[in-house]
Amino acid sequence: MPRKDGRTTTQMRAMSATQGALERADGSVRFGFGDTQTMCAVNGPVEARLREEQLDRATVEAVYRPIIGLPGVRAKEIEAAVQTVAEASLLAGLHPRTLVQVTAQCMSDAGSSVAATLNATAMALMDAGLPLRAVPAAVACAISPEGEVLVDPTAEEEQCARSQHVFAFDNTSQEMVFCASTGKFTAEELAACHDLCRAGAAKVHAFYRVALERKLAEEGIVA
Amino acid sequence: MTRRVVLPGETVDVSVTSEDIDATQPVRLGPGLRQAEAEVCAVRGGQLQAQPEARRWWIESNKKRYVPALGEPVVGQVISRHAEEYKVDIGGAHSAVLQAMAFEGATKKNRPNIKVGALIYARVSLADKDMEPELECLNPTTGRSEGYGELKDGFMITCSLGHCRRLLRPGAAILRALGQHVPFELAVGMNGRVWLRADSVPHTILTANAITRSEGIYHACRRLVKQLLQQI
Amino acid sequence: MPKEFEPSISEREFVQAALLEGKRVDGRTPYDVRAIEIHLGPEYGAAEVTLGKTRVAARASATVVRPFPDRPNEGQFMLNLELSPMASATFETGRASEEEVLVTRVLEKAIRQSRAVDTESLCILAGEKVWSVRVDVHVLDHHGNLIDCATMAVVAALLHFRRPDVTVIGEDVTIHTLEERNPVPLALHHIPICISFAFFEDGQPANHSCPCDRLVMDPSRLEERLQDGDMTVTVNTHRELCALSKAGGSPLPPDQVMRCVQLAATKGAEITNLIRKAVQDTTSRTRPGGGGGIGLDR
Repeated sequence: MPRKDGRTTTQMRAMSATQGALERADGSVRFGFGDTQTMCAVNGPVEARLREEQLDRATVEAVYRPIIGLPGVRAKEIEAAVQTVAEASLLAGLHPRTLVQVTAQCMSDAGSSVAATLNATAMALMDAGLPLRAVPAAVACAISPEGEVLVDPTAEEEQCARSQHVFAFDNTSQEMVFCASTGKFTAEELAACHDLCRAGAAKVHAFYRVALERKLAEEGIVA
Repeated sequence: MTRRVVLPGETVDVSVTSEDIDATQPVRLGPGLRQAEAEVCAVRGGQLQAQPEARRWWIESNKKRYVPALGEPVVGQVISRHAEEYKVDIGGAHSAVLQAMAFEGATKKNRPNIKVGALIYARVSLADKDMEPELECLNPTTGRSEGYGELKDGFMITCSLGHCRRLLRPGAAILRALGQHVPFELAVGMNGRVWLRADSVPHTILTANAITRSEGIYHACRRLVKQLLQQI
Repeated sequence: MPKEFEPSISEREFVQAALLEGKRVDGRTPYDVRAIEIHLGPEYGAAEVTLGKTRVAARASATVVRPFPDRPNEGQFMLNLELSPMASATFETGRASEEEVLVTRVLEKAIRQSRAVDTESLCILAGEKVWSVRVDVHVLDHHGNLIDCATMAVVAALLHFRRPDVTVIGEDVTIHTLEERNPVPLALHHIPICISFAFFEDGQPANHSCPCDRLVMDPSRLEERLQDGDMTVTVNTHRELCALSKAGGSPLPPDQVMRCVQLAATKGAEITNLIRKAVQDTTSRTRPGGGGGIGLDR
């Protein structure tokens, strides 16, 4: 059954990315799934305050800000996700006693905002030229009241969903680096979501490559 | 295939592919590559480059934040003066140390007098992730200043590190195009800072704008300079 | 959190030398404002404005709340601005910097206290239900003159915003979804625009007849860091002065103030037209949906 916006259940919305979107930040990317857009800025390695300095590794400081209102519980949850994914990707040992600031700003939320935020974070870390172990790619899905798995749900689909899931996979082993689920679901359903999101993540990784090729061409590195 | 776009985490095959290459030579990994157990991994996204004969491999990419590397020229700003040394901001995570003796002809009695806030052109003489970087204003092999030292007057602009590398290449298009119309001198740091000075205020502004705006322009440098000249 | 150092001696001296010749280091003349770009949508009330490289996003939203007991017929209007490390690595979250306080206060004065939004029109049911409109301002890139850029973003967001339509029958209030009925624009009394100036001392008695007097409009980040004084003039399209703020800095002769007001009035009218045009162009295209500006992230 096609969805309201004409997509099939496993089809994702068109991805978009503006790399180097901000002048001041060391790395910045605006990533979007359709109308859902998140901006992420990365600064680092920069000087760390004494109390957060770690002798053997860089400290990661993540901030997430919603577009409307002050950061609440949900924003803190997304912030923690950004922190986890950034720490998992960064080779922090190569820049000891420094700080890497990751600031994500929701620009518009039309569903799957967490996945868009994590992808913006991954691309911004890459844009900043920081040493990375791997680049993660996140995809969200929702299980509709009828039990159908909808990949990359819209805000409307999220609202009436029975459960929501976000998975992130890295590009080397294709293994899961992040997973968050809410709602009521069975183990089989979770496994089905995992497989669908993993297939989606491969598309996100392919998108990263196209985006990087374009950036290198614009900078005159690739002829 | 030696030239391709790689994402962080991807493995790179650095094994010998041709019989002409001396397999006993060690493999040298440049920026963006790292050895992880038996494999070589990319840690940065960019274009993989290689000199297969010399077994050198590196990744070409652009960024804005400077991480000090040995021997690179940098433009720094003096942030504090101490008895034996200056603390210099070079745009990295930690401020660098410049010994008062690391100048041409400096002795205990005759040492340079540089004010806080002054700009200097120096060479990175120590770069280690666990230590504060150190600078020197002389070439260690000859003991001569060779252009390093305090940068007086002029103006400073910032640009991406990749653009700075391009400016340092001999015959950089924008500098050649500018040089046909305006006399100027400049000091390009690998840390994304360019100090420049021309014979008059309008010419300095023109040079600064031309260099800033030439980022991302590779063929139309002459047109850009002409356009800016008309605006004066 | 990296520290920001004072500009170098070379930069300071060159900026001042250039100003003596009536020139600015980015190639502008003293009264040039950097290029302004306005992006609106996709949701109602979402605006992103760039002023040169300075970039600010503003998002207007509305919720239904109970009015304050002393003002039962009035809706509420709130402004919220926080400088995150996105704008500049030197900003810390959770601790208001001096700059943040200053920008917030000028914005409050310019938009809220000049009563730009007609709060009485936001009343749904006296003493029971009113609209609370809030605008969240997000500074994305800080390259100087945040105040002017943020005001433009807030004004654009307010003009672009549509709140859901309501019907009141007796005590019953129905809030219509965007699909049911066309949403309603906000009633604005006037459109305030801030124009900021930076002043530079030359150590000599000011000579106002000279074309190279030390005053620049729309200061860049470098000029802001080097300035001896600043002033922000808020004007509207009726050529009225709405607010004027000068927080310390070098003293100014009265005629200099008057000149700034005149300059601001002219420039303010240009900017208002620019924003109006951008809003008109987009509103005819905007499709409803996508959250419609009602808070989802709470």
